[in-house]
Amino acid sequence: MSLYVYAIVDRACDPPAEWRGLAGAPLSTIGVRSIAAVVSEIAGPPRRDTTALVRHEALVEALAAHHRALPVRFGTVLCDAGAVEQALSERYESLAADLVRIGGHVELGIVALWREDGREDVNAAAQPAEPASRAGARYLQARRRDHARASAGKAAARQLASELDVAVGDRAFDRRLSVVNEGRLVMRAAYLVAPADAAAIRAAIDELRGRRRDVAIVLSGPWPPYSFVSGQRGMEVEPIGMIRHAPRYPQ
Amino acid sequence: MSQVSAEQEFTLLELLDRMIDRGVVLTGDLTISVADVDLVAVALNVVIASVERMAELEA
Repeated sequence: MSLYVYAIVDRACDPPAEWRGLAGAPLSTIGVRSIAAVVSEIAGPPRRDTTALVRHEALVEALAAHHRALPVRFGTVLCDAGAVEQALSERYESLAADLVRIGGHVELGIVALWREDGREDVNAAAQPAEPASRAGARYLQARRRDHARASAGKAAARQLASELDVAVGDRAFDRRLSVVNEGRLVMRAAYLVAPADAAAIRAAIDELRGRRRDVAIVLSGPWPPYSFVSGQRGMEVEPIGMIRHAPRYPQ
Repeated sequence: MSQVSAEQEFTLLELLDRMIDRGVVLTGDLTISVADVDLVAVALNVVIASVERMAELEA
């Protein structure tokens, strides 16, 4: 029987006996030094349906509330307890450090999209005043116009990211940012925060929405800190220039 | 589509994006993460579509 892995927790974490994993399977922990993996037995690959996703997520959230936890990627199955111990041993230093750094926190996700009229304003600002008379000149003007439009869009996206940083302020321990600016998608961001600060940050983002009617800003979470586990790709790790203080980490 | 269902769809897809593309990676002999890379791209596109619908409803 293989083992499905939900989360990495402190070795001292002992999930309540009545908690269940995928397909109602009982949970157990497999420990290596100060950390442990929370697992349940599984006959084959997990079902890729909403029920399985929600069960995995609910369990990770419950573990994090019960005792700090690192979320493991959905669909992780190892062949036996020895394989789990080996995986924990190979990554022990990184996992133990991440558990201290982010284990007690949550992340808030932000997706921002230009509203149609806002984008037109950006584009209109980049339009040249005079029409081109020759094909070559027209081509060069079109290239310049595209470049100016892309630069203006990127700068506007970075400006919005800065405003979000200010709104979240020093309640953020860390931030991941991806300035996309393709089509209507402006940017995606994730902020690492204390669970108790999530409501205040939501209110601050609401206030920013009132000032920035040119973009739709949608907040999701709080989620377990999926985006802040070490070694993530896709989201840039950038200096948090507009946040009032440097990231702070719990001891 | 109502605003509530667009929000629910957005929330589920934001969750899906995190669960299958981020989080702790342990080497497993069975994992669906690699096979589902395309699913992440699809999920992102649906997230964008649902945000657009929400933005239209808010406007």
